[in-house]
Amino acid sequence: MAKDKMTNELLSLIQLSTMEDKEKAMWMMLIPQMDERQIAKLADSLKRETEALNGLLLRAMKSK
Amino acid sequence: MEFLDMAKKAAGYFGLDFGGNKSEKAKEESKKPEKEEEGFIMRTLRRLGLAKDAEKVQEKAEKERAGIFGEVWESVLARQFPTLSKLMDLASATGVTKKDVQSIPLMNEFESITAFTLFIPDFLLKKVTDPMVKSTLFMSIVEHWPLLDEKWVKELKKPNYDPDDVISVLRIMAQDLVSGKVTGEKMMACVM
Repeated sequence: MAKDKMTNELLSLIQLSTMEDKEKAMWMMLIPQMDERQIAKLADSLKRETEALNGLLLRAMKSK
Repeated sequence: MEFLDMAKKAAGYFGLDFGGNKSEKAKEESKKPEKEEEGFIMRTLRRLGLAKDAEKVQEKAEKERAGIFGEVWESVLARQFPTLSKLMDLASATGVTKKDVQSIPLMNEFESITAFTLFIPDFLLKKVTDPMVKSTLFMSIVEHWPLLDEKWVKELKKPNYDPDDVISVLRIMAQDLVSGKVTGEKMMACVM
C-alpha cells in the first residue's frame, strides 16, 4: 500500500517534470522494477528539481 | 518474454520504432540529437531571462537521475537479463561456464535489451553500454563473434565510442543467434 502511494506520487512528479517524453516513458517502464528506496530517491530528486524551478519563478514574479 | 512484450507494447504507445530494418538514412536521422519542444515552465523561465539558472537546475537533476538510473539498471540487468549480465563485469556477475550459456536466453536478452534501449535518453545510454565495452569477457565475445565485421570491434574499442554502435552489435548478435548462424556453445568454445 505504501509502495502504491509512493508510486502514485512518483507518477505525478514524472508528469510534472521538465524531462523529455522519452525519458518519462523510460522511468514509467522502470517503475515496476524499482524498489521502495529507489522510488523514494527518484521522487526526492524530482521534487527538488521542481522546487528549484518554482523558486526561480517565484523570484522572477516578486521582482516584477 | 514478458519484459520484451511490455517494451514492445509501450514502444507502440509512444510511437517508437524497434529499428530492426532501419535504412542508412533513418539511422543517420536517429543519430541527430533529439530536440523536442520545451515545456511551459522552461519557456516561461527563458522569457523571464532565467534560462541559465533553469538549465543549471536541470543539469544537476539529470546528474542525480543518472545516478539513480545506474542503480536501477543494475537490478534490472540482474533480474531481467541474467545471462547477459554474466557476460559483464558487474558485481552480480558469477562467471561464465560452458554449461550456463544457452543460446535461447541469450538471444532473448539481446533482443530485450536492444528493445529497451529505445526508451533510454542519449545522456543515459552510456550507463547501459559502458559495463559492456569495459568488460573483457564481453569484448572478447565481440572480437571472436564469427560473422561480425572487424570495423565494429574497432569502433567499440575507441575511448569515445558511440553507444549506438554497441546496440547495433547486440542486434547483429541477436540476429545471428535467431538465424542459427552462431550458437552459444560454438561462440563460448572460441572465447573460453
